[in-house]
Amino acid sequence: MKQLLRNEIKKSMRTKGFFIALCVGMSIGLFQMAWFYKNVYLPNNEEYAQVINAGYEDTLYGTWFETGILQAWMGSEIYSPCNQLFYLLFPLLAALPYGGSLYQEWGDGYAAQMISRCSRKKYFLAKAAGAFISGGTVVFVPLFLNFILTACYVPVIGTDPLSMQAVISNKDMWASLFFEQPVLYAMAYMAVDFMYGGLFACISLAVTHCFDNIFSVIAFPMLFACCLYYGMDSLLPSFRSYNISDIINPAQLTGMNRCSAMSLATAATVLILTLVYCVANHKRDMLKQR
Amino acid sequence: MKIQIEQLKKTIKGVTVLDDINYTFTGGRIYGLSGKNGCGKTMLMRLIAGLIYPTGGTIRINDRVLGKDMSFPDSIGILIENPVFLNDYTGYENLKMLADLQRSVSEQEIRDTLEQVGLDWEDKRRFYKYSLGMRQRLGIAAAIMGGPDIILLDEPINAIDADGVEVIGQAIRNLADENRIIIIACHDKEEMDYLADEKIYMSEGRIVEGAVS
Repeated sequence: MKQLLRNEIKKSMRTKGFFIALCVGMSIGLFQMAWFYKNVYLPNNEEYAQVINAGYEDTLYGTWFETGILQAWMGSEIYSPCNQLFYLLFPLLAALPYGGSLYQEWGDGYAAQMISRCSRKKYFLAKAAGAFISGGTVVFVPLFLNFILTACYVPVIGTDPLSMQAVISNKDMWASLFFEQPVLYAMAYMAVDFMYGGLFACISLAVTHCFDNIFSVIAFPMLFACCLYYGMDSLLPSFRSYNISDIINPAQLTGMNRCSAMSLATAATVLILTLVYCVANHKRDMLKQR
Repeated sequence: MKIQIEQLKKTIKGVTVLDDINYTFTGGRIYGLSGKNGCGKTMLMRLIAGLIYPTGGTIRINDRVLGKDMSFPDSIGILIENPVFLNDYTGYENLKMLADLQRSVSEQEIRDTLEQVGLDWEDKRRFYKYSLGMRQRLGIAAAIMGGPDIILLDEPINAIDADGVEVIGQAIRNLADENRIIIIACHDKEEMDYLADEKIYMSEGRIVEGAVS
């Protein structure tokens, strides 16, 4: 089983989809960093220089707050459209590397090669592990890289709640981390995003047999997330804290994120996914090749 | 080694593709399945391999019921329809990846198997650059690698040149010396005569009794 897992993870990270997803994610991250540097960081610093040189007093000018890492990090930065773009594409990026692999291997007969050498159960388990890890990796790496590169020019300090520049309020989830331990806040959200990246990739695996083309299999998680987002937003506004699209975004745009809701939504997603994956593949015939 | 098939039936979307199949395969022999396209040869192989489930009847492998006492035959090598491997890996890497799942297969065995089917194990070309014949050879190598107890080969000499057919034929015959069941589906009558110890003719999802030699 260990070898099978190793093979699947290795395979999942050698696909074209993995490199495409990684490139798209990192491009958004790099663009965001450049955009933020030019449009927010530099003007802010100029203003700072002006304040210092002019020797303004607080009473005349107001308080100047230094830009903190979480204002600049793609995960929680809201000045540019990059955050929204990244989290809109998030399910698609996650499913790209390995979400369609079961569809492909089942259809072309490679799954038969594998299954005849291990059991079905092990094969499906290893496939889910490969999809989970590759899906998580392609969303984690751009966020992590963006955080590291941003930290090269923006000080790793928390945002001052008084600055009114923070997207998070005191009542929001993990607010104390946001204001006092920005690195921990970012790391915690990167872990959440890794997990959801993996789950989105597994959604693709679970719905493999419902579609007749690989594009639909890979695009399904994004469609699902969009439907959930707009459905919950307009039809069930009181359940917005269970919305996965909001849960994964460190900017907490709706201000509805709650730790208990996140745990419940995650548990429900894992449970439903496992059930669908098991039922869909239980005693499924491996018929004619596509 | 013994495979007993009793009253086997397979229906797909209301269409009966195999009906009332009764047959016993014993070790040390090569069986040749023949019949027109769509007569159920490949379907029978898929059922023996445990890739699909019967609608009725049983398949016993060494007195254990497939799908009940075991989900797959313990030791099986298959080449059904087109050989498919990972495009971005070389032939050797592909076999190594599969062999890693069966810990009993050593690297030396992989090299020997590749040479046995006429492929160079040091060839650095990736699978997507392989010709049809090379793909077929690699498919056969994957099926016979590690010397499984049951070998199922569906049209093994497809797309293989005349020299290759001889090499492959010899490799298959060498394997038959042991206590092993080899089932081959083949259209080439000459090749079937050369390879098979026992020929089974299928028609419309049934084994035609009179044609069993």
